[in-house]
Amino acid sequence: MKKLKVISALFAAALVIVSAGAVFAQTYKVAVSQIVEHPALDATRQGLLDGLKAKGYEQGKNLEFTFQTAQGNPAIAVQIAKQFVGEKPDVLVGIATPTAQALAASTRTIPVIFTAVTDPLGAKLVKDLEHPGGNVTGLSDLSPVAQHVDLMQELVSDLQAIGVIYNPGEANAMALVDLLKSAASAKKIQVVEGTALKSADVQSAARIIASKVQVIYAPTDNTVASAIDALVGVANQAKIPVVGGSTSFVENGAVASLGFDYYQVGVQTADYVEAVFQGKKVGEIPVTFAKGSDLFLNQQAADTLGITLSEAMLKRASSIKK
Amino acid sequence: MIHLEDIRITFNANTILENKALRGVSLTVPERQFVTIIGSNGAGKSTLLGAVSGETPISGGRVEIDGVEVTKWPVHKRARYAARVFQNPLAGTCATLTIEENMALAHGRGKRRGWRLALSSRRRRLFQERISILGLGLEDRLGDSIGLLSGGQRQAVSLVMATLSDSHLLLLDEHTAALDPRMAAFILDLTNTVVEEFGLTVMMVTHSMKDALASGDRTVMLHQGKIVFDVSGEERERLDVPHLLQMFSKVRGEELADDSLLLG
Amino acid sequence: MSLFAFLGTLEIGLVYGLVALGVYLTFRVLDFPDLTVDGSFPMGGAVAATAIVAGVNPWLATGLAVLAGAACGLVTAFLAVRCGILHLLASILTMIAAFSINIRIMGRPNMALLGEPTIFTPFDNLGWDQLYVHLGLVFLLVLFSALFVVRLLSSDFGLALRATGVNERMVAAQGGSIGFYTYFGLALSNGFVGFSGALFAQSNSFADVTSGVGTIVVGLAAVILGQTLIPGRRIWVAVTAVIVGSILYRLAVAFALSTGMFGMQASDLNLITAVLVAIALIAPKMKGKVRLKAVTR
Ligand SMILES: Nc1ncnc2c1ncn2[C@@H]1O[C@H](COP(=O)(O)OP(=O)(O)OP(=O)(O)O)[C@@H](O)[C@H]1O
Ligand SMILES: [Mg+2]
Repeated sequence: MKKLKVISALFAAALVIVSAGAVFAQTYKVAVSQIVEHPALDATRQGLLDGLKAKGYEQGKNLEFTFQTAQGNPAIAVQIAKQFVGEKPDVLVGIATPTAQALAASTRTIPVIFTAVTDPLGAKLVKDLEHPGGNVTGLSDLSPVAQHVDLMQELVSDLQAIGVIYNPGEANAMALVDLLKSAASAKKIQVVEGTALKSADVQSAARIIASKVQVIYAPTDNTVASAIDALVGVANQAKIPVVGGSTSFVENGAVASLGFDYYQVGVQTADYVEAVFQGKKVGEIPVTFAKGSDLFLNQQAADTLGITLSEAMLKRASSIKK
Repeated sequence: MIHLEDIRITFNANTILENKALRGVSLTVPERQFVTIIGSNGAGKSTLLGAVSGETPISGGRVEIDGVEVTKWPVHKRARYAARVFQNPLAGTCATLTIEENMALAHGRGKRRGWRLALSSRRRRLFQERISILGLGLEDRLGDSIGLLSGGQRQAVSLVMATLSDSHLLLLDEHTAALDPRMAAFILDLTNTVVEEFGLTVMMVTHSMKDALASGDRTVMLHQGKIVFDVSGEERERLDVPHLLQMFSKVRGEELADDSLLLG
Repeated sequence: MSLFAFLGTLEIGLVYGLVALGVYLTFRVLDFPDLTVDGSFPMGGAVAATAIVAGVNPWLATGLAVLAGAACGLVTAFLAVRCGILHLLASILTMIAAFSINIRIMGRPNMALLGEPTIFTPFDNLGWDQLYVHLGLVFLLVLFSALFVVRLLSSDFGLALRATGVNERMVAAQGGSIGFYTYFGLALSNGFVGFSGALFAQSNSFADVTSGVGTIVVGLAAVILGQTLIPGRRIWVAVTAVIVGSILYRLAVAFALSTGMFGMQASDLNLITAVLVAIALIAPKMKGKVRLKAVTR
């Protein structure tokens, strides 16, 4: 009995100390909901965390950073949203479309920042990019698809047909393929589509189209991103280059990539979170498009395929894999 | 009335497994007649009942029930004319439903099944009344799952179920074969009572020569998919079991002789 | 768990209770393993969302979603009954086809309803707490659905439907058309699943084609969990059990999500679901064994 009293006294003392600490430095609570775990989205999350740290918000000190992934299941995303909203954090962050939608539907008061959402208007997250109005704003990662088509033309002389592998079930990917088709048709280039509902299907989808095209375009599609190695493997066998929408693809053997470093997308998202910390009204923060589309080249892959990377291209590149 | 005209049934036609189970059977069972059907294993007895109930699709011939041609009708449509009790007690009842639910199911045979409650107090009273005839004390156990009953009890309930809707045809395929002798005798008695009381027209398959002669008023013997023997009236009165057995072996012997002639 | 999270979990549990009801009808009543639900759930959401965005009254849109779900069931029944395709395979075919159709319906894989009118909208402006309003409305809809199923299964028609899953030969001998009951049962089941999808989309403001993945597992987990914890042969007990099972399943997920709980993390969810279903499947057998041992001793 006596022991119990001592313990509870100690516990009470500890509580006082902890809450006293909280008075001196306010702790901000950020809850991050991510639809699925894969390299690009994970990098976004890490970038956000590091970006906040650079601004003086450090986990364990004055930042409480909670994170959940929905395993690709929208119903779980909804449950995560309910749980997060119930915990009343200062900012909710939704990585990718369904998680952002689930968060936005669960609260009209807590600020919701989305990131890595390709089409925020189509997803009805905001009514207006300049003046979102409600409690939701964020960062779009719309890929510069027109620039990708230019890049492919630069790489392959007399380009007639581009192959693209994507998951028709992903909102982001569909939007990109539509952009690709309009950009390509403007230049009278044919687009051959290959669809993969799951990452295991990427390889066979690539095999089917590989012989009909001169280059394969890998969009920032979660399914393709998870199976990028398999895609590159097929392309190598067919002796055609892969051009990607995500710079990380170069690491996996793509000849060239023009896109975001998703880590940097996360870092840029930190600006939004900080703005909310500082008391800015969410409805007045405009939606922006992720900045800094870097060109990554892969000299090694180009050599294997017998493709010459032009001087101009090499000059533009921010990273060249040798 | 059941009218069968030159029924032919071939299983696995045009394969090495081809089996002519019925090779031209014609049989007319008038209203209120009780026919018993005998024959060795594989003679085609079950197949013949199947031709009436619709369970075995026929390859040739014509089936008429109560003057209506039903040759192309599916089983569930013919069910409005004929009730059946199977050899396997498990086959004729629904194990997970209660006794009264099984009875309600049978009560709806041949009627449109709608939104009405399956178990009204009026129906319960009817079921209680009917099942009490059995004298098995089941009237107090209507809410029990029928799976809890013994095979004999289930066959008894099946017979009662056969009388719950107003068809007057009853098809029985060795419905006492799975029971112990005492229970078999009880079910056969019950069958005779029920047939008498409701004025039913019956086709009953049995392996017991004794039962075949003791029940009903006509006996038909099948052999290799043909009717080889058909007795009724006085001729049948005079028959006894040894006599019948003798005819049975004679039929088989003749068949053999025929075959050897053909081969020679 | 916060009150908000708890009420939200109840709501999702109830919405998926309709899936459990559908799965109960196919797996338990009809004994027809039906994976169509993975396609009819998102189809319900897709149809409701598309109709609402096109300006259709939300209640009417929900009705259309129910019909769309039922149509999926009919397709599976057609493949199984008319074409004689193995039940499981027939339902997988419909499920796969539904994925493409859902994208066609919406014209895109994800359709948002944020800011669109839903069946909840008229109640949102009454000044009550939105969370309670959603929960209350969903509860009433699920209650009516459950009462409908209980009443249906107690009718002459329902009795034949129940017998179909146990003894087809007997049902045919009693004048019931097996084919017809299969069509009806699958349509009814998937109609409920489509209804569930429509409610999910409207309550959470989006329809997404990927929301169908694993619906069958969730429904089955709810049925097994519920019927193990609340055993009983009576229809209303079984129907209550599967809906309670669905709520319990969602509560289990919510607990798993509450960070730090038992040192689990979110990516353990699939494992937890599998273990849950396995335990529920094994438990009744174990109970029987223990009892048997006790008797032989
Ligand atoms: N579904 C079926 N497919 C193939 N052959 C069948 C089928 N049903 C019956 N047969 C065959 O048809 C013949 C007649 O069978 P049936 O069941 O009518 O005989 P039975 O007179 O009822 O015999 P038992 O006294 O053994 O019940 C047998 O040779 C049997 O093997
Ligand atoms: Mg037989």
